[in-house]
Amino acid sequence: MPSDPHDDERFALLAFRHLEGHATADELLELAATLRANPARLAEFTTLARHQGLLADLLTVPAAADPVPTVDEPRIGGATQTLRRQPSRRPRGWRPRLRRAGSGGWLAAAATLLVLLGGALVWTQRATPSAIARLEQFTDGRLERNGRIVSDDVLVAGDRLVTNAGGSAQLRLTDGSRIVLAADADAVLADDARLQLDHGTVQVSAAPRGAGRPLTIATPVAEAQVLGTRFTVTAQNGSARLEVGEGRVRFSRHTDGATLEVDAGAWAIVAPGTPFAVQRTATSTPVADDFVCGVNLNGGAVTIEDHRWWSQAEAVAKGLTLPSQATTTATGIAPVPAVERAVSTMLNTAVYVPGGTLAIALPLTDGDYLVELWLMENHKDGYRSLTIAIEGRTVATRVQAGDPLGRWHRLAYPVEMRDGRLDLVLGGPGEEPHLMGFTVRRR
Amino acid sequence: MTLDHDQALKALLAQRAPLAGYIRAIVGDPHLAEDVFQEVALVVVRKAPAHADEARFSAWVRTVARFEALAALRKRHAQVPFDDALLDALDAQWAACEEAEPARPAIDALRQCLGRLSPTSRKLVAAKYEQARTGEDIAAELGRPVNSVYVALTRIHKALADCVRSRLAGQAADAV
Repeated sequence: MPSDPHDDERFALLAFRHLEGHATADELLELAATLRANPARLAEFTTLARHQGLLADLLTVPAAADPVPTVDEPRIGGATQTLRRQPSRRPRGWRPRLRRAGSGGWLAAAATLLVLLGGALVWTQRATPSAIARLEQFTDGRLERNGRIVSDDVLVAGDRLVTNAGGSAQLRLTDGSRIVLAADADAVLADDARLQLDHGTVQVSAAPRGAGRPLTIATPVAEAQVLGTRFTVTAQNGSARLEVGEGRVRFSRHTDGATLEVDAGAWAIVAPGTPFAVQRTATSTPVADDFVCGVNLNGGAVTIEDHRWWSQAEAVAKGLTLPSQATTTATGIAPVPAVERAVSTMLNTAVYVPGGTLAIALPLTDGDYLVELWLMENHKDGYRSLTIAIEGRTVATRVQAGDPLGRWHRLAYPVEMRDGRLDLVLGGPGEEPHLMGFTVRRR
Repeated sequence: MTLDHDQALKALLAQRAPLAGYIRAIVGDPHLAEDVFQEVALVVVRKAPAHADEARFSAWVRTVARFEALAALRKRHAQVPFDDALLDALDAQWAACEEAEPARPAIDALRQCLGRLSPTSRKLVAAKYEQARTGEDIAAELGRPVNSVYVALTRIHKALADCVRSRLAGQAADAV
C-alpha cells in the first residue's frame, strides 16, 4: 500500500533533521512516535542511518578507480541549479574531534587511535557520567534530572526520585545493592554510595562493599551508613528513624555528630527530646531470664525493671575493676526525660576520670551479650563528648555531645565475648568520661 | 574464538562505518557521534579480552555504543530521543540489516550502486555525504524547499538499498 506523500515528506524531514543534529525537541518526540508506531518507518530510518555511516566512509575516502565527478547541471525538484563543486575532501563545517590527531575524519581518527593504542598507551580518558543505578520498577511518581522531568531507567548522579501517594520505586545500584522507595518519598541519588532522603521511607538491601565507600542514606537530621545489612530509614517532620533487619548500620546525628551502631532487630531515632540510643524492637525485647547482671556505679543495690542491680561494692567483690584514678560523684539532678525513682537514683551516682579514659572490666563467662550503658549529663550543658569501646572495638563516638544538663541515655551494644572478661572503655584524650551504671543480658 | 586486544580493535575498525551510523541514529549530532565513537574504542581496548567470540562482537559493540551515546547525551543535558523500547527495536532492526548485509560486502555493493546513480542523484549524495552539508544548506543553494531535498535523498537511499540488496543477492538491478 503506497504511503501518503505528505507523511513521506514529514518523515524525511524529521529523520534527516535528527541525523544532522538539528531536530527540535518536538521533532524528536514526533520522530520517536513515528518510529514506535510504524515498523516500516523504523526500517527506513535504520537504512538511512546505516547508509549515513557507510556513505560518509565511502565518499570521504574514495577508491582510486572512482572517476572524478563531472560538474553537471543537476535537476532537483524540477529546477535547474548548480551545486558548487567542493575541491576539498574535508566536509564543510567539519572540525577535528580527536584530541591528539592533527587531522580528523573517521578513518584518520580510527587510524590514529590504532597507532596510539598499539604501543604504550597514554590517553586521557574524558569522564562521562556513568550510570550508577538502574530503575527496576517505578510507578506513580517522577524522575527529575537537572530540574527537568525525564523518562529513563538508567540513573546518574544527581537524579531525583519522587513517589506519589500510590507510588513506589525500586532501584539497583551498580554494586547490586537494592533500594526501595515507598509512597510519598522524595530522594536524590547523590552518587553510587549516597542517597539523600528528604522525606519518606526507603528500604535497603545492601551488598557488601569491602573497604570502599559505604552506602549511606542521609536525611535532613541524620544519616545511616551501611556496614553490610538490610534496614529501613524513615525521615519525617524533622526526625529520622532507623530500623535494622540484618547486619549492622552506623547511625549518625547531624546536630552533634553522635553515632550509634545499630544491630539487627534494633532501632534508633533522631528526634527532638528523644534520647539518641539503640532501642530493641518489641519482638526482640530480652525476657527476664536473659538478665545476667547490673551494676550501679558508686551506688547501692537498686531494682530496675524487676531486676536487682549490684551495688558497686558487690560488683567489686565479684571481680569488677576500675582505674585507680577513677573518682566518684553523686548528684541530685532530675533526669530528662523523667524516669522512675530507682532509675533516677542510679543515674545520680557515677564514677568518672577527669581528662582520661575510664576502663572498666568485669569477669564474665564467654558468650554473646547485650551490654547497656546508662549515662546522664550531670555537670553542665554540652560539657562532654565521649568515645565508647567495648571488647576493644569502638562502638560509638560523640556520645552525649551537646547534651543539656539532665539528659540521659540507655545505650545498648551487642558483644561477643571470648576472653572471660567484659572490657568497657569510655573516653579518650581530652574527654571527660563517666558512667552511671551498666547491665549485661544474654543474646 | 576469543578476540585478543588487536583483533578486537581491528574488528571495531572494520565496523566503524555502520557503527558510526548506529551512533548517529541515537545522538544525531555528527560531532557528538565522533566523540562517542572514540569512547567506544576506548571501551573496546579496555574490555576486548572479555569477549566471547567475533560473532557476538558486533552486538556487544553496539551495546557499548548505545550506552556511551546515552551517556554523552546526558552529559550535554540533551534530550534522549528514544526510550529503551525504541532503542531495543532499533537495535533489532540494525542486527537484521547487518545479518542480511554484512558491512564489507555492503560497502562494496554500495560503491557499485553509487556508480549507477544519475548525475543529479550522485551530486546530491556527494553534497550531503562527501561534503557533509545539511539539507537546509543544499536547499538554500538550490533555491528549493528543504523538504524537497530530503524527500529526494530518501528516494535515493531506497534505490541504493534495493540496489545493494540485489547485488548481494547476486541479481542484476535496473539502473537507478
